[in-house]
Amino acid sequence: MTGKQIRRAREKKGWTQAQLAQSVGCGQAMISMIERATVKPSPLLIARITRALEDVGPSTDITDTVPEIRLPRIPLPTPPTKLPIVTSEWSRPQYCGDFLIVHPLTPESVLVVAVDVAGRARNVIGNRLYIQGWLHGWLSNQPSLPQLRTLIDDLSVEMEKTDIAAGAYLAVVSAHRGQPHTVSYEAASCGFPVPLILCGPPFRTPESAVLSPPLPLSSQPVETTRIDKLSAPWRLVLSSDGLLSRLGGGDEVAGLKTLRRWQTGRARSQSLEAFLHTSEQAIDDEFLALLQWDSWDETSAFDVEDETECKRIVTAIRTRVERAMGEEQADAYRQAIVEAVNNAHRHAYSGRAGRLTIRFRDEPARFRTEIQDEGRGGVTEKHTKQTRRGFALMKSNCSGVFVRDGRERGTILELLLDKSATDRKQQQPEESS
Amino acid sequence: MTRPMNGPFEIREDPDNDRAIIVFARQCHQARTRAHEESLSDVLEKCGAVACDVSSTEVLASDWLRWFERLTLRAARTGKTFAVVGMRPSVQKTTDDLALRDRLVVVENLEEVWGL
Repeated sequence: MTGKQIRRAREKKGWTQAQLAQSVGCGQAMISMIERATVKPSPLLIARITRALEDVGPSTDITDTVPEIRLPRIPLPTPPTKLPIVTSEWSRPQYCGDFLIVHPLTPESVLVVAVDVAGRARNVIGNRLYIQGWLHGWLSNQPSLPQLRTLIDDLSVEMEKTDIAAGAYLAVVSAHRGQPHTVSYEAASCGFPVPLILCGPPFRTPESAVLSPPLPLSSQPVETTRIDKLSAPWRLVLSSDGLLSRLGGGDEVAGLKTLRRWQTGRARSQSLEAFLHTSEQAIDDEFLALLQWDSWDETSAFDVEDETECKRIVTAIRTRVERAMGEEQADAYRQAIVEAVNNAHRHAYSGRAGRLTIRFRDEPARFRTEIQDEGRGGVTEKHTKQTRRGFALMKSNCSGVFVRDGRERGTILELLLDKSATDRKQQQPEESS
Repeated sequence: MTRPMNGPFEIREDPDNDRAIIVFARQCHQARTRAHEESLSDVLEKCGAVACDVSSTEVLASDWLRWFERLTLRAARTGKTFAVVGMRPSVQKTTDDLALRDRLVVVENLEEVWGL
């Protein structure tokens, strides 16, 4: 079908461009460009459009391969006016050519990762819209997810700023341990439920579809893997269809199985090259866009000896607490944070350098700060009960102090400050009098 | 003589007057290392009077306050002076929470230290 034919068929059916786009799983702008013949759609997309307009059987939309996700009936929180998305990294992947990225997962965060696969694509905007449309199409079975759609749109805008010309996989990853929800829900709600990797089925851009035949979509189910089922060192592995094909000797599904064996089996501590018995490392000019979406108002990871950064984040947290609770409470909370930092420096790293992450969130009822080290763990409940020590000071300056082990190593200290704490402290003298 | 140190404090020695001032940073979250301890002990050994100036310190990890207690005791044993100068309310509160106020010599300004 030509662009004109598509337009005529669509108008005959009484559909808008947006309706057609929704039906085939691409963006409205893409339909517009196809109709104006400013882009050359892939044979796959043409097939979808043709089917949709001819109304022949069920759509071959990529969403057909996604099992329906039934969302829990939980009222969604008020969406933020702007999603806290930052482009946290632009980097050259470890393995390129046919793309593979092995990225250590950041705890307590959601990552949206888009990777290049076609490499030869030139029409950046077209591909951005294609990705955007693919993702929207992928969500088409879902109830209204305005925030997730905003996230996707923002992702697309970010991608437009880069040289990335095509996309292979989208992974929405959360590393939070909590209530079981679906990825769609978690992304929509800004909550951080179960650790989950969701790898969408590989998709083709108009350009990449030209490079090789389209995938048999019906045989490509969505793969979901609970991160907490993977033993350390666990990794997020994203790969392109090309690499999967190579690994699988022409069979992408077999390639995926090979990767999964490496990721989850006994060989997981080996490098991929060792696992594959090869010393070859492909080099290419492809880049990874890694967008991080996390729910923390302040996050900083730094060397514990980086005094400037430590002061900056502690001061930033204090300022936010002071605004809500006054100087005295803010000073007390800062003292607790400094104790926690000192504790990590002394015990986790024995006064030497080491990585520390401080996260802060202003929640409706409380402030929450986490101080995470990657040193030797071993902090127990016994330590928190010692008097005249740092923990006692933390407890006297917070509403709650909790300790838990880091996911792989180290310790996470959680300091909570209830926003009602000021009232309670003010009431105490009156009660006693 | 000024001997700056990377980290939570710097030492300003005045050997002519047999005294030294240890000026602490605005925020002291760092762990107290052996090098820090040796440096502070060294000053106390060399000088008759040591003023620990925390007047610009807004927050101080308890680790340091407990070390002040030890230095105070050591100074008392050897007939020297170790005083903490210019505590801000936030540091005073931490000192009180640790029940250290009575164990330290806390004064308002440097002149008071030299007069002790």
